[in-house]
Amino acid sequence: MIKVGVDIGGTFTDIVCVRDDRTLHGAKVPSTPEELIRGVLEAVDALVETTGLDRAEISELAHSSTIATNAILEGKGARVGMLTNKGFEDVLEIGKQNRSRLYDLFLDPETPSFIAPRRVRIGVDGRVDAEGRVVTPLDEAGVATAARHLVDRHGVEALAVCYLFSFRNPEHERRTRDIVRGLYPTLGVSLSSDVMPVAREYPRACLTAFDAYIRPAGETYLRALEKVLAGYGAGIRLQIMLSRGGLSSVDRAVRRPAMMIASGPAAGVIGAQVVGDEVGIADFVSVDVGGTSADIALVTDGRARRTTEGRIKGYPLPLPMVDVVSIGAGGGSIVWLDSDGGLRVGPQSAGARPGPACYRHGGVDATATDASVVLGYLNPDYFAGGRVRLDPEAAWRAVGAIGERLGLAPAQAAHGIHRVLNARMADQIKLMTLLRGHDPRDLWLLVAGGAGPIHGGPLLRELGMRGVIVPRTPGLIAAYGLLVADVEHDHAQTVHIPTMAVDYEAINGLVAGFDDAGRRELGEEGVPAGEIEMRATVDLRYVGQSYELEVPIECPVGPGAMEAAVSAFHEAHARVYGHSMAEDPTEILNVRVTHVARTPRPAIGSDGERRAPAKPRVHRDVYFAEAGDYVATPVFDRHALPAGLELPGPAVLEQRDTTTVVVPGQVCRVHPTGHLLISQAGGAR
Amino acid sequence: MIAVDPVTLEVMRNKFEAIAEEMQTALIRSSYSVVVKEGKDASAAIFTRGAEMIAGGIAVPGQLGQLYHSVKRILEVFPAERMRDGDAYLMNDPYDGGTHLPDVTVVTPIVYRNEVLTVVAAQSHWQDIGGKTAGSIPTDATELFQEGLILPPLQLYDQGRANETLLALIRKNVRIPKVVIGDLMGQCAAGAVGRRRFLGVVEEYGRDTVMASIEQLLDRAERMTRRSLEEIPDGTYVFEDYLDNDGIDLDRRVKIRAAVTIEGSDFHVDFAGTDPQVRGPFNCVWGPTITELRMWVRLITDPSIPQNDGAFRMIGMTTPEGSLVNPRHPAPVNARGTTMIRISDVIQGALARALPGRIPAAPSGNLQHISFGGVDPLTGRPWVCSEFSVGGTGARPTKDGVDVMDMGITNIDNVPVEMTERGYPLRVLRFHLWSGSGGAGRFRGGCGFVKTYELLSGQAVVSHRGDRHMVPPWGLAGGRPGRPWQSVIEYREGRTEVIPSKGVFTLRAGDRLHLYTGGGGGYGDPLDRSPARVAEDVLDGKILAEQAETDYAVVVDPRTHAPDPARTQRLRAERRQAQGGAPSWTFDRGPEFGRE
Repeated sequence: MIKVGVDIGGTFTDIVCVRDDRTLHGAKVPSTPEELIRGVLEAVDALVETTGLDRAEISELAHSSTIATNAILEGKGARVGMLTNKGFEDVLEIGKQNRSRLYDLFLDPETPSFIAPRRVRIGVDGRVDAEGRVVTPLDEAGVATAARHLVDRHGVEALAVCYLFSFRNPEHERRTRDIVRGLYPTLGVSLSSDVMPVAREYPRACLTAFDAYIRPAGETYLRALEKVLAGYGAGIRLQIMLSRGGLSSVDRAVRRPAMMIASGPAAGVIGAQVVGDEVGIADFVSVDVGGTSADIALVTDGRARRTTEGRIKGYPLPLPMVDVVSIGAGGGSIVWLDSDGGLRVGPQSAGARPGPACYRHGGVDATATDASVVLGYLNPDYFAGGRVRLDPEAAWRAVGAIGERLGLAPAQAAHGIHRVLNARMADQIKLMTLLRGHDPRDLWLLVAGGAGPIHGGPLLRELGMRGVIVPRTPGLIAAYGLLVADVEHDHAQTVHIPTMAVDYEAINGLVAGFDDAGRRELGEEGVPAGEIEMRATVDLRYVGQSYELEVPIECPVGPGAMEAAVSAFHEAHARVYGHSMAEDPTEILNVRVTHVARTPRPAIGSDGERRAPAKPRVHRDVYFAEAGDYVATPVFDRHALPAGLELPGPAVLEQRDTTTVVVPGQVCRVHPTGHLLISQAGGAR
Repeated sequence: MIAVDPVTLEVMRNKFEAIAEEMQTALIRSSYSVVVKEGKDASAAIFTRGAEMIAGGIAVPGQLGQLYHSVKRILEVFPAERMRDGDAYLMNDPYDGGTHLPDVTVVTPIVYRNEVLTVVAAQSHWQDIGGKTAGSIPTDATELFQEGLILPPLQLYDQGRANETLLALIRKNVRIPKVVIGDLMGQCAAGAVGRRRFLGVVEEYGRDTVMASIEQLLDRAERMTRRSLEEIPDGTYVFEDYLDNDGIDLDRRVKIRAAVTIEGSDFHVDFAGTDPQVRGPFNCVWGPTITELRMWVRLITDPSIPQNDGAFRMIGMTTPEGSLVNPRHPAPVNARGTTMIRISDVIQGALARALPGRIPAAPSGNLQHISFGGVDPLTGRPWVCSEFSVGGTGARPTKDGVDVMDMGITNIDNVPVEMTERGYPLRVLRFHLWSGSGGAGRFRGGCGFVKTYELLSGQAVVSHRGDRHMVPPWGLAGGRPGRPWQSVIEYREGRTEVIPSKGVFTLRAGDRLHLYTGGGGGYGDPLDRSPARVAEDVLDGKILAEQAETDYAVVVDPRTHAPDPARTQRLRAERRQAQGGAPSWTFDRGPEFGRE
């Protein structure tokens, strides 16, 4: 009985499992964007091939996929029609009337009206007020006429329904679905009151539109994959990673497909969270550096920080999501000179094609990866485990050309490129953490992704953080996250009431309803009742504010629990915003309930059981600024290092999925779990 | 002066920008008021001792561009040589470097080994600064003294010791002292963050490297900007535009005239010919006026230029004394935001002459502020609900304008209908794009919106501050003007009244207020717009069905919604002949105000 985790990324599809030998096994195969299921099966094949695993042993497959995100990024979702209240057809198109780029005369609209342009958005009579009372009854005939028009005339493949205050009273939306189902039994319908029953019509309309947009493709994909896997070996059960960082059954995922948005990044952060737990570190920043971007996330008290103000392509998604900030800084970041000859790195990226100059795909621009080759960080013959043979001459040529224009030798230019990239990442890490009320100096830094462990040391020094964690397999962190993520369900509802005037019976009724639903849903997924944990939170704010903070609340809710939640809110407000207003009235906007079924951690043997001597493979010339020159540096096979070993910099650690650089003045320690911890020598920050 | 290597220079640029951004974050985070926390009406930046901005936070253009002028005045009154660590200074006097009274600037010196290296500044729009009405933006003010507490450059902290006299005075002169002092402390917190971070960089890289980097980055921005400006043909480009009125003399339009001279890489604007100062609060002093010049220089030059004040060294400005853009004390100034937007339109028009094919048509040209205030008849509690609204942007030489967005000095969110209705006795009856409001053109102006509020109970006073109800946003290069803004009150008994752009009105339960926000101007001859796109515009509600024929000479088959090629071609030929070939005019303000 073996569980595997499969993460489809933009470039690679990763798979991992833990076998009886208590070892984490992994494989990487190229992604197959046109035919994602084939990629999943090829990943399983690769794992079987490299580990000699018997297919029939695989019982579960936990999965994160780009299916939803790709549909959005490439604009290849379904033809969506939208029903709204009459007079509010353009909520999706008007948005918040703001812009993200302040100085740009040629900017494009920033709302996702491409999903459903006005011709397929139809308003129908029917109105509910802020208390949920029906002001105007639903025009049922109008609904039927609109649905016919959308399907028969416009060929709509999925329908999004978003009425005002449906989070207070969903009856009009539900009735609409019934009418449409009566006419078109197979048409997918997304109701805003199902997708996310919370206040603020524009973000809710966005989310509902996206839900409909990815519904047919998402459902087709998951059902097909489920079917293929069920017939595979002895039959494999499929689980899906959701944007909040918990696993779900396919049945639930197809009901709310929007929850699959950003499932890959969520899996990566959950992987990081568990690595932190394994080394006993509860508060850290994880930075996953890939080819085009660095994804920054925050883990505090051992839990990845979630947000309900997530975004995709800048569009708001009021969905519980792992809080990830992405910046255009990665291995493929292009180096360029501005019109005055100033050095710049990124945010444009050479991506995978043509990729860095050293990739041999015809790229000529120097990138950060080319600089890493020039500096001697990367072994041209062992990049991605030897799968990609780098062309060092092309790297030197590209970096040398930049250096020449700056009056710098190639090594200095390459080092300069890294300094600029590190400065950009450090600045963003600092802002990301400070904005959320945490000082980076109190935190550790976990580096993941193929390019992350090259940057850990300089970032540690630049930010004065406590130390760096390099996971066992930084390039497989998302797949690992899938293996160890918990099963989670969540429910939320806007109530919008003052905390001074809470109707406890009503709140507890709401929570009890969510609790029943959550337990039932988890039960249907085969979780025994005794293993289900329930957590409730409330989104609170000061009356008059338009932003909330989520704090836990004890159930059943009574005056004591409410008071405790309000005081937790004051504290959270002080931490995040620098002050609190203890005398000011507060209100509850949303009530949220989450059910969790813990996934047992696979036992992974300690590398300490291996007793290989720490002998370097070779010595390689690597450039370090501390020395101002190339230094003959020992290069180790990362997996041959025994637990407890302390390696002073300079050193380079190679493994199939990444390269770790230990800079002079820092020490790398091999933790019994096999993860690496890097700190300043002598404990100095 | 040492030469800083290119890598260090780029690292420094990033560091300065990150410090400014962290200050900006601290400013917003640690402030108390809704205006600052949610309206983001605040900005923080690092300056040289010569009051040149080294780096600024990501704040709205209208705020950031005016800050240097207050910093400059503080540094003139309190020379840097005499500032000491732990000092802080503040001011808001519009006639001594300020903007309008609610914008208060705090300046903190950064002292390293007894030398002031730089200063950091934070400006916030205080939610109240006293004066005749709550919120301190009285639309009917006729002199500065009615607008609130006037603060000349003053010392707020002396080596860490607060000026309690000044604080006591402020507390007694504002309506919400807790919030105001909270915001002031937020400004000081931003200063403390800037000081700590900047000194950290000095410790790490050394004073000389940091100071040399600043100078080199400013020089670089200047060189790059000048290089961009040199590409513009030399000449003087003149344009005029209008405010509806000053809120007091409702029938008198107010003219703003600017002559933009580009000579080599120098950029000069002369406002000679602008109308005299007005009685109402729309007068605009130096800082908020030059802000628009700075924004436009930035908009027309290379976007990769480091964002510091080196980029503005070539800007010169002349403003006639006693005019709308250089009023004499104590003319009221609180509503100068409306004037700033029109100044921006005037600069834009002049630049459209200088840079044909690169400048968009006029935007809707207003940030409308509506506030409803009443007393809840059930609870007896007073309530106030306010909202800012924008219209469409002007069409661009290569694409349509954007609906309901501003690309100029402002950037503020609307209020969700579900928040308005939950919090106040109002119901929103409709909120959708205003079909046909965008000016016709080869590229169409962005649409404004229509929003209708109904008062559900009691009485409410509506304070309405807008503009562009009279002179429409101009179309460019043959494009037609956008629809001007309009507001209408529909009384319960059926009577309707078109209300002026500025004024205070009373609603009773059942009365409705309809807002129509303006469209952006069109770009290029509408007869050149692709008939297929015109047909799509009809289908997608961007234009009304009849406008296809009247504005674009496109005949759309009502059944297939597709254009009829033969009839369209015929109609377009007739229309072109009637208009005498391609349009000969550059600007179009509609039949009432003409073309030029």
